[in-house]
Amino acid sequence: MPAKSDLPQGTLDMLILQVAALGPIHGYAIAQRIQQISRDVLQVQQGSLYPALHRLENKGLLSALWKASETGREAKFYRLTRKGRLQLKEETASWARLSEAIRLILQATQGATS
Amino acid sequence: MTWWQRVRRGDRAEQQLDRELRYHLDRLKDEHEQAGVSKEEAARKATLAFGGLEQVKEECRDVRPLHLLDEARQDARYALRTFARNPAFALVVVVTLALGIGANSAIFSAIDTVLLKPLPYPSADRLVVVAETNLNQKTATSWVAPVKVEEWNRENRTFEVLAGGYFDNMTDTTGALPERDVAIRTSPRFFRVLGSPAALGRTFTSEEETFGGPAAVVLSDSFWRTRFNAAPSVINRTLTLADQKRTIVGVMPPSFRYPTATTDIWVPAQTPPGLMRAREVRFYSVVGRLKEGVTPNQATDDLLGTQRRLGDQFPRTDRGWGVAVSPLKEQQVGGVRRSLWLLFGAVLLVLVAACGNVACLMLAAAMRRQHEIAVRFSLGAERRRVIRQLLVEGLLLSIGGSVGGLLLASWGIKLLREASLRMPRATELHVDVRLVTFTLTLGVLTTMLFALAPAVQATRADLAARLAHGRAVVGSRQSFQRLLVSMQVALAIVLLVGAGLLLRSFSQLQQVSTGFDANNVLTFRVSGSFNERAAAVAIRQFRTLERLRAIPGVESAALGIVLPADADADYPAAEFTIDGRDTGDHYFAVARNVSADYFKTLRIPVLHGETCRDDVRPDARPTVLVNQSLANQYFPGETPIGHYIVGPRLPGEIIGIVGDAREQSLAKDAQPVAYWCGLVPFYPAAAQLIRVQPGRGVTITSIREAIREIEPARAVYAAASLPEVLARSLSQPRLNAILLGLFAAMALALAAVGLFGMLAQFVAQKRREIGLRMALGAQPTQVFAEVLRYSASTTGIGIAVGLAVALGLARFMTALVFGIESRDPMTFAIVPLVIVGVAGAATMIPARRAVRIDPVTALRDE
Repeated sequence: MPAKSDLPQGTLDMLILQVAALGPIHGYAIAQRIQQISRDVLQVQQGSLYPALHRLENKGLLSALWKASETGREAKFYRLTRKGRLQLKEETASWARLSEAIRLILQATQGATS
Repeated sequence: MTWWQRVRRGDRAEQQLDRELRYHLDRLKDEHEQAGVSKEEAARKATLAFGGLEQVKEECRDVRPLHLLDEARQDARYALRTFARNPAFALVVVVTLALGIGANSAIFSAIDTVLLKPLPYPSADRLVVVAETNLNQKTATSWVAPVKVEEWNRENRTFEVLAGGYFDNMTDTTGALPERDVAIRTSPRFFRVLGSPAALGRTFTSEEETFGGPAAVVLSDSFWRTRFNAAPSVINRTLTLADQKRTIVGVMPPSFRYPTATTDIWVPAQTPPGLMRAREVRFYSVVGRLKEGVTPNQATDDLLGTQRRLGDQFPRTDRGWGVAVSPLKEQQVGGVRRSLWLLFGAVLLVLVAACGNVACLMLAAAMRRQHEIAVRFSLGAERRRVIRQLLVEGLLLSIGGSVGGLLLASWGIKLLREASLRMPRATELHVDVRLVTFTLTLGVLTTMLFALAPAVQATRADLAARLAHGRAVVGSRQSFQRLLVSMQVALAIVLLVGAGLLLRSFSQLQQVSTGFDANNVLTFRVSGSFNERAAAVAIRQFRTLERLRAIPGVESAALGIVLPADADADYPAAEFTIDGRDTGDHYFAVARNVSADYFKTLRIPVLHGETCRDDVRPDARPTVLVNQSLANQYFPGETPIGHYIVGPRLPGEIIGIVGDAREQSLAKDAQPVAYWCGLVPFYPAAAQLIRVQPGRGVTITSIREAIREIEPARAVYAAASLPEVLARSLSQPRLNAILLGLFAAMALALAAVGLFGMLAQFVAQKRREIGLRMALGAQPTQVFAEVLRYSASTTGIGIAVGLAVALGLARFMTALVFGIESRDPMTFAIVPLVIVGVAGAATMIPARRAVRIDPVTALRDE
C-alpha cells in the first residue's frame, strides 16, 4: 500500500470541480472518488472538503440540490455550473502548464546530475 | 451553539449543514461496520476520521458570505471599541442627546395625550357640544333649557342621542364629618351619549332618570378609590347626599372624566315637571353623539331648523335662539393648543441645537481619526462602508441618547402632570408605546442630523493629500463648524426671544393694576346644593356672614358668586336694558351678585353715591352698583345714579359708582360691570371673602371651627388666600414661561459650548502660526483681537439670522403675550446683549490661551 499524502495547497478546489464535472455528486462520494482515482494516494480531509465545497458553492462554481442518494437517504449533491466549467478549464490548463514546467525542470536537473 | 446563534445565522442553513455532514459521517460508519467491526467501534472510528463535527461546521460557516446583519454587528463592535477608547466623548454626546430628546419626548407626550389622541370614549370623534346661541347677544354661547334637550332628541335627524348635565355641589354626610362632593346632575341618556359602560355595576336606568324615580348615584374611579379604597362591594351601598340616601349603582372607569377630572359623582337630575315647562331656564351644558358620517355643520343646520320651528311655536321665549355645534374635543383642549405647539416648536429647536453641538464633536472626533480612516481606505474599504461605520457609531450614540431621553421624559411627564394644574387631560399623561416609538424614531432621525454630515465630510476623497499633510482639510471643516455654531446662536436667539416675551408678559400680568386689593383676603366656600330652598339659603348665608364678622381679627366678610379674576369663572358679559331708553342699542355688562361688604373687603373704592346694604327683607328694593367703565360707556355726560336697569335676573336701581376692577381675568382690561347688591340665595355654594387683620392669627382652621359651630353638617372647601387663587389663574402662562425659559437656557448653553469648542480648536490649530507671528514681534493684543474677531463674526451672523427669524415668528406669539407687543423692543434689545455677554465669556478662555502661547515651544513642536 503506497504512502498517503495530503493534497498540495490550492489543488483541492480543482479536483472537486473535476469530480463534479462527471455529474451531480455528494460530499462523501467526492472524497471516495478522489481517493479511488488516485489509487489511495490522495486522502481528502473532511475538515477541508466541506469548507471548500461551501466556498465553491458561494462563488457560484457549484450549485447544490438535495436528492436521494444511492442508499436511499437524502444527500446534498453538487453540480458543476457553467461558471464552474469555465473555471475548471482554466485551472486544468494552468495546472498542465505548471506541471509540465516542473517536469521539465526536474528532468533537466536529473539529466545534469546523472 | 446556543439558540440565539442559531436564530441569528438562519435556522435553515444550519439544519442543512448538519444533515449534510451527518450523511457523510453515517456513510463512514457503515463503511467500518461492513469491514466487520462492532457498532461502537465503527462510530468511534468514523468520528475520528471525520475530525470533529463542530469544527468542520464552524469552518463551513466561516466561508459563508457576511450578511448585512453580521456586518452591522462588526461595525457595532468596532464602534463600541472606539467609545471605550474615548469614553468622555461618548458620554458628552449621549448626555447632550438625552437632554434634547428627553425634552422633546416629554412635550410630545403632552401634545399626543392632549391634542392628538381621541378623547377616551368610544367613537369619540362623533361627540359634540351643543349650545344655544342668542342672535342678539354679543357673546353667543349659552346653556340649554331641559325641555329643549328633550325636543332636540325627538326632532333631530343628525344625532344618535343628546343629553345634558350641570355642575352641583352636594354635601355628603355619609361619614362622621360633612364633605362636599363635586356632582354632575345628568339628564336622561347622559351615559348613552358618551358611550362608556360602567367599570363596575351599571349606569342609570330610565326609571332612575325620571322625576320621582329611585335615588341612584354613579361614582367616579378616583372617588371610588379614595372613599371606598376601590372595594368591589360598594355596589348597592348608600351615600347620604344632601340629606337623601342614594344607592350606588355603578363605578365608571378611570378614563371617564366628563365633564372634568374633578368630578366625584353623577346623579340623575330628575327634573321636575314644573321646570320642564320653563323654556327660559337654561342650565344644561349639552353633549351629543352624531350619527356616523355627520359633520358638525350638518348637525348645526339640522338643529337650526328645529330651533326655527320652536321659535314659531313659542315666539315669546324661543324666538331669536340659534344653536352652535362644535367638537367636544375642541371644547376640552382647544385652550392649550397654541401653548403646546409653541413649546413643541421650542423644544425641537433645542434638539436641533443639540444635534449641532454633537455634529461638531463628531466631526472633531472623525478628524482626529483621519489617519485611521485613510488607512482603511488604502486597505480597500469602500467609502460607503466607512461612512456606514461612522453612521453606526452615531446610531449607537443616539440609541444611548434615546434611552437616556426616555428616562428624562418619564420624569418630565411626572413633573408636567403635577405642574400643569389647568391643562385639560393632564391626568392622562403617561409613558406609552407611542411615546417610546416617537423617542426611538427621533433618535434615528437625529443620527441623520448629526452624524451624516460629519461622516461625509470626514471621508471626502483627496486621500493622498490627507495622508501627506493633515492640515489640507482644516479649512473646509472650519467653515462647516462655523456654520453649525452660527446656527446654534441663531436658535438660541429665537428661543430667548420667545422666552423673553413670555416672561415679560408674565411679569406684566403680575404687575397689572387689578383695581382691588387681594392681600389679607381669605376665601372659601360652604357646601350647599341647588336643591335647597332659596329662602333657607338666604337665611343661612346671612347667618354665616354674621358669624364670620364676629371672629376677632376679621375686618369684613362678603359673598360673591365667583371670585374676582378667577379664570374658572370667566363668564361672558350679559345683556341688560336701561329703563326709559328705547333707542334699540344693546348694552352688555359683566353681571356680579355681591353682598354689602364686597367692596370694603376687596377695597374697591366707592366713587359716587352709596354702597350696597344687606337687606334680607323679601320686599327690599333691589339696588345696583356700576363700575366707572359702565358709567363712562353707557351714561356719558350724565350720572347713572337713579336709573333703573334690568339685568339677566333682576331689575335694580343704580345707587352708586365704584372703581374699575379686573373682575373677569387679570389679562382682561376692566369691562363694564354691574354689581347687584344682596345675598345670593340662588347660588347656595357662593364664594366667601373675608379680610383679616394681619397678625391677628385668623386662619382657615379658625374659620372652619367657627363655621362648624353654626353649620355642623356642611363642609368648608376650596379654602385659599386670594393671592393664591390669583397665582393659580396664572399657572398656565407661568408654566409656559418657565418651560420656554428652560429650553432657551439649554439652547444658550449649547451655543456657548459650541462656540467655546470651535474657538479652542481654532487656537490649537493656529498654535504654530501664532507662535511664529509672536516670535516675529506680533503683540498679544493683536493675537487676542484675532480670536475675538473670529468669535464675533461667527456670533454676529447667528445673531443677525436669529433676530430676523424671531421677528418673523413673533406674530405667532401675539395670542400668548400680554401687556407688550409681540415685537417687544425691550426683549429684542436685551436678547442680543445676553448672547453677546455669553459669547464673550465663551471666547475669553481660548483667547487668553492664544495670547499665552510660547513661541519657542510652539515652534519646537513641529
